[in-house]
Amino acid sequence: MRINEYQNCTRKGQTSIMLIVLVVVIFFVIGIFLLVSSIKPVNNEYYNLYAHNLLLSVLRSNTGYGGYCDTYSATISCAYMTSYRKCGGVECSNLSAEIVPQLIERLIKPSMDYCMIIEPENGTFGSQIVYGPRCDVVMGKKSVWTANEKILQYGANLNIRMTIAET
Amino acid sequence: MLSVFDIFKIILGIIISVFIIFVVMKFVGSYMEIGESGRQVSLMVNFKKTVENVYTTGISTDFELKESEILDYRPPLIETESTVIDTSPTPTLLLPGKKLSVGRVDYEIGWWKFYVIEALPDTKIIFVVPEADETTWALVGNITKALPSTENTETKVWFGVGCTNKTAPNFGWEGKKFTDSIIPGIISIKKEFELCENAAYWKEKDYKLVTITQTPGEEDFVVKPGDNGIGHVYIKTDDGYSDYIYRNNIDIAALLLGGQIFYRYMSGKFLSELDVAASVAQKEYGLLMTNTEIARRCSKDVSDFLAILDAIRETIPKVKDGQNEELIAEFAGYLGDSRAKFRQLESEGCA
Amino acid sequence: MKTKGQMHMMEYVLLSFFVLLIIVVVTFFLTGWQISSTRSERREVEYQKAEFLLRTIANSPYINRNTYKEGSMLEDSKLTSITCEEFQTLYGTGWYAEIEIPGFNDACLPDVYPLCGSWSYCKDESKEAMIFDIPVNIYRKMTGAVDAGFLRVGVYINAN
Repeated sequence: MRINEYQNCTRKGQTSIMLIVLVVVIFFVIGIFLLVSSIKPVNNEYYNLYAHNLLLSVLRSNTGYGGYCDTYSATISCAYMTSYRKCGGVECSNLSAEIVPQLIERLIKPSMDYCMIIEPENGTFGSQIVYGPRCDVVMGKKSVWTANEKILQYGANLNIRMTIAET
Repeated sequence: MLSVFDIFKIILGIIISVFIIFVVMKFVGSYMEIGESGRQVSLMVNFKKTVENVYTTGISTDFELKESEILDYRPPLIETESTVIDTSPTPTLLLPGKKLSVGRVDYEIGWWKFYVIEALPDTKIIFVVPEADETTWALVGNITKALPSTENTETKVWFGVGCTNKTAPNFGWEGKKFTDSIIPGIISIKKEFELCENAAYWKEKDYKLVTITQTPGEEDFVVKPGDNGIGHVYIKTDDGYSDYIYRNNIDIAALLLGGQIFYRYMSGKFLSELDVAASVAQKEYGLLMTNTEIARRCSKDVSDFLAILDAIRETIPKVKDGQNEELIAEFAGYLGDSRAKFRQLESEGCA
Repeated sequence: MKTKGQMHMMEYVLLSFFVLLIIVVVTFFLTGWQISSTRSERREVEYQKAEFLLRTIANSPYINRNTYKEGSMLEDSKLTSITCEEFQTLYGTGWYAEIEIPGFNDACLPDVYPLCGSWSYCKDESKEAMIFDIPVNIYRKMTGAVDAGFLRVGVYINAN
């Protein structure tokens, strides 16, 4: 009889402990669930639009130099195809390397970084021109947004790729 | 033998179980309702997003929407069981259906563009052209262009012409092919058509018959072209016919798809946006005339253009109700003049 | 024995109380989650409105240069001519827009045009807004030059 009573007491104690543990687990699960559901997804559509408009705006803007370097896209084209040509007394390859990053940095959000790669269209050979102070960091990031445009001026057939990422 | 305490435990256990089951069932029940409403709201919000995307990009797309989801559509409000969606500010015409083709139709007069979104299920339209002359074919082409061309979507709007041998329409082309190849082909072979005697049969099969004629008879939907791009649309009702004056092809499309409600809605949007466009253009050209070089080159033509814009803005409130044919004809004339004048300004480098 | 029996009964009642407490607490949590989920859906609607307005205004034929089919080429003469009320007729209320060319702070009023580079429509400083911006081009009608700037759209939070 005494042993049975002892066993009964033990079982009741175990039940109480189990219930307390159950309550704690339930609260924990609910807490995790609420935390997970509060994580916001990144606004991919907005950043894709941003990347596209950043690239388009840069390429279409006037440089103020005129001639072969009338627009930023013409300047880039000149830098790639006929880098010896001069605009405003400066070779267009040097001018492009100076003014293109300047404009991008004026337009881009402070919280974002960029990498612009200029290369020939698929299937043709040629080197790349890269603008961006932290391209290796940008290209190494998991979450990036990319826009592409083509330049066909002065016989060029170039693909311009603008990649942006949060700093 | 059960003790009192055992009985107490049993009773308490039953009460608690019943309570737990009651709460759980109530919660699950209301959650299912909330879940279903949430699903419907999410669907309609996605539809609005699709409409907005098509409005900004002009690229048509398909959208799956069960016909039963929509209780009523009085533009711009779409009413479902759980929510009411306002498609504003996008001018939208919607015919409920299981799968919709959402496309953009552009109305352009050079200095102004008006975009309309049309969301239609599989739709079949037959133009009945007993008097197949130049005016008729031009109108067929224009009405087709006021409806979406569905080359890029799975859901289709098909067009055809009828009838020959009083029964069989030539049918089955999408908008662009119909206007670019089929109509010119039919015109070149000088094919003749008659009224469709078995119109009831085609109507039963969900075809929309658009009869274009100067002598309306017993047909359900008749377009009687007039001068200057305006005319009359007669829609059969239970006690006769309703007569509408159309100012442009979008009016005809709106009447065809949704009768008076769509016509009034689209007309209101068209005129209010036109008024804004004309006001902005007036101020813009006024600004440009402050430049001496532009004023020297362009002042005469710009003055003429501004006078036409003035006339348009003055006539807009008078043609809102769509009743006065003379005023509407005058209004259509001004729009045509503004298009021509703008082209002239463009060619002179003044636009 | 009596005390043991009473303790036994109390334990039982306590256990039952805990079970009921779990049910009530879970109910409250789920209700709270539903409310915050509804709030975030509201935010989602406002975000969608802002994104739509950003695209629509950037491509609006009322302020874009005709010849640029890709859009985002806003004509300075049109920007100076259009008003907040006209924008609201076209695109509804509950939002504001600004266009700025970096380095040009002068607001573009008709008497200052074309020597200016900033336009603002329907802005109410006293209201909180969800703001997005994108780079755009501004076409200088008088000279034919193309500048780069920003289009900023703010949707007022909890507005119609």
